[in-house]
Amino acid sequence: MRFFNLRAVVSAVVLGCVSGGVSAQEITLSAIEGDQQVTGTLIEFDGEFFRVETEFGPVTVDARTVTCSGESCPAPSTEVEQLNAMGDPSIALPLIEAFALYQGAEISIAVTDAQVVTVTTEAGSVLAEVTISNGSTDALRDGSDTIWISTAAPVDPSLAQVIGLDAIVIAASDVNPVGAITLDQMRGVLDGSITNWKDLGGGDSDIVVHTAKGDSGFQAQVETLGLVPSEGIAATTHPRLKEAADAVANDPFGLAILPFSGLRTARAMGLRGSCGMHNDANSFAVQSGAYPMQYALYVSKPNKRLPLFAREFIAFLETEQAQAVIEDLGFANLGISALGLDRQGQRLANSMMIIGKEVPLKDVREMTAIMSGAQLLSATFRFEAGSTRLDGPSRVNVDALLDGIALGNYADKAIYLMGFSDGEGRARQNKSLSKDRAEAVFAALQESAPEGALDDVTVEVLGYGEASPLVCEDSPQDAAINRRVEVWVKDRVAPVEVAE
Amino acid sequence: MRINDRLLTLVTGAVLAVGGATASLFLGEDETNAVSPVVVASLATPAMTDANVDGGSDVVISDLPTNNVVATAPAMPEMPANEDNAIAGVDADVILAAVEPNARETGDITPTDLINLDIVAVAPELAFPADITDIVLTRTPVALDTPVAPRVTANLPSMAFDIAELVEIRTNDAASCALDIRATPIFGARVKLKLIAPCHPNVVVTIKHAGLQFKERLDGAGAIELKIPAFAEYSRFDIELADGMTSTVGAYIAGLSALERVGIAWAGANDTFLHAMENGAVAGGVGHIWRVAPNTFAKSRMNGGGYMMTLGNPELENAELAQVYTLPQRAKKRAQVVDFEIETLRGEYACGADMTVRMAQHRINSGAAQSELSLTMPACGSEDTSLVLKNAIKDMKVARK
Repeated sequence: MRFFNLRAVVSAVVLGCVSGGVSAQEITLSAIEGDQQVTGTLIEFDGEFFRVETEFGPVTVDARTVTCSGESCPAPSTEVEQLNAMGDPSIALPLIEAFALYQGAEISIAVTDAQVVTVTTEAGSVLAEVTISNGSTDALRDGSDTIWISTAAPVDPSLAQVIGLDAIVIAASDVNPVGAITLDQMRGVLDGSITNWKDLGGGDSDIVVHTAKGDSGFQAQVETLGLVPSEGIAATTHPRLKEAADAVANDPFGLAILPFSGLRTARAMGLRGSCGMHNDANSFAVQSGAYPMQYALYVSKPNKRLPLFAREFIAFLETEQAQAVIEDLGFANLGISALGLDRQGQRLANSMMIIGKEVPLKDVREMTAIMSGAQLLSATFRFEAGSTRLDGPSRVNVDALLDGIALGNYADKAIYLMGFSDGEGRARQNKSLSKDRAEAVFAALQESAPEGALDDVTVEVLGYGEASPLVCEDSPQDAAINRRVEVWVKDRVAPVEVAE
Repeated sequence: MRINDRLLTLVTGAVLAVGGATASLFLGEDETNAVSPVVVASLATPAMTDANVDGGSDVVISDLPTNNVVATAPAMPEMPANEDNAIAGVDADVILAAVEPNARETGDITPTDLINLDIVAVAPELAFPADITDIVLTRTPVALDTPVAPRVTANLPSMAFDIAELVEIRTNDAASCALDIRATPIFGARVKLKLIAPCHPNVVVTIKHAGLQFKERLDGAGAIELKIPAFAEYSRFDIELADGMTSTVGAYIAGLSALERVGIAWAGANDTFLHAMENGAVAGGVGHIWRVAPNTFAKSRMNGGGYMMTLGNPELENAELAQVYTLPQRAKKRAQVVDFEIETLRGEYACGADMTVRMAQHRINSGAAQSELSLTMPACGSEDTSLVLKNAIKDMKVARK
């Protein structure tokens, strides 16, 4: 790509370099492929790009596409790129490994206090050395080439990028018969007002609470939700979340609060709202933002231009290969998965519970007729609080959905953008509000899509207000989960009339 | 039965590589298993194949016993591999092909496939009447009673030197000195590697695969048979004899999509361990799989969980060893998770020393990968002498279905 940019520039310059003698300060950059040349005075070389003052003004040329000749040519760089990757090494290391594999490079790891990963090309030259360590976010500001991979909230959201999704889940053993729990019940367990499984619908046995000391990032998330044991509550404390997960998985009476990514073999309990709706913690629910208590895995970069290796690594994190690793690590990935209505019984139950209150039966019937035989995509769109700007994960979804369209995944299909609202306010207003949101998502898609990219697909924009809630609205966060625009995909067939 | 019918029978699939550089792959459906057909194939370059076919009588196809011919059983692991018949060739329902060593004492001559074939053609001690070293899959009917030695050189005017003078080939009565390697895919995404080097008894052999390598010693007859876990669908095994001979064999491995695999390899004493802790197992407890409690392939299949294979002979001087853990995916609903630790006791007697551990992985999502770990043993005089690395290898996770 860059190479072609060079061509465009070069063809404009090529005449200039022929006239006039070559002075001592002048350099000539010759394209490795093709016979174009740029001649001019070297302004700057940053290891990747030449900036050359030519007769036609300054020109920037990618160093990888040219060879330099002339006395002022910079000496070929033999410096190995250094990069610090801060954060949990068990996440950073597999990603660096996958990136090396993706680049056809090989890696070797030297274990000292930190782990130093050397990435070597097949030809044997060293591409980069990455130091992986736990560390503070200060390193993002000390001017070093540091990236930070963490689930903690980024220091500067504009320099962070979502690469995976996670959630706080309540975990029990596989053999424990209790399927779901409410947040209030969990808080009761933690403050000592509930001590026996029979109060949660199980057998008559004491609840054993497992907690972990380490993993401060996760513990901070849990504390903000008030999900830590009160003083004096008996809990089995483990050094790390991993041990807590294994303990609860093997303890039929155990209960623990864990990250979705760190469940290991423990089972995530369903979350029941006060209105009786029930949310399973599974990766589709996390991907589509339907599960409460979610957070993201971010990669943060410093406010400076990173070396090439680091930039390519960050770009790699969005690829399918990296997302497969992120999924292996237990996170919900950013890819788009699809789920048929036949596997969303809970959703229909939620709609049934709401019919007649304010939502007319006709709306639910019409909506269900569209959903029947269709697939819900995990790419769900939500907006920043009180704004029409899409939130972080939704902006990633715009690109993912457009990629899917470009790949022809939805060619000759009908795409339905279905807006939904929370239960606040009048149903009629909510219906038009939800359609407006769906329109806004369509506008965002059109804005980001290349010319003609949406020609092959039929997009229909709909709004069904509060007709299909995902969760009980026990808190403002719950209401935000219900305010969304869903994407349904269906074969393009003539609509079937629904019998009255 | 006419010979044509036999020849037309294709093979369920096998790969063999000759001379290191060229590998050919024949895949197909065996529709007439019952007749135990013999299919003979050469793995020479296409040009050579043409030359042979044009030559007519240069090609000999036979279901007579062939010494110089390699057989591999079908790649489909469900089919019981009949390895014992491989040498005889008579009953093998397989591809046969010749394997020639690719590194001989050839002076300045770069070994190529052409040269390998020429060695066969002009070295009289190798050309027995029924020994076919250069065979082409063809439909040309040939008389079985008058086998003719291949005359490959006749079609190769550019060969300006006499191979026989350049190549010193040790002979062992009537037996061939060629390295005979068969890589037979067997159940569990493993390979049965059978190596016969009659002229190299008791020689140490290094086997390299997927970034791992280990050493074994050939027996008094120059033979060895090993079961090796494979890491890639198209797996390559490089064989290196201590006396300089090398060769390569490949195999198509089925069944990798149903298991995950992690291996380590190192040089030196048998002092290093790959620990697999299944589902939160504690050290020494149930589910802690390591060299001392390796589980077995059969038990793993019956009862679930993974198994550890140890490779290499620790008795050898300058031993190179490997350990490979395999976790088959189960159709069961339960989630599984395995943590890995690499432990070395080398610090106990070689404090401050450097050590390199090679790692190979096969993951269902991300495929094969290899890397290298360099360790420095604790400094001399420090209290903790053993080294345990907890996160050098990513956990294996099998999600709940």
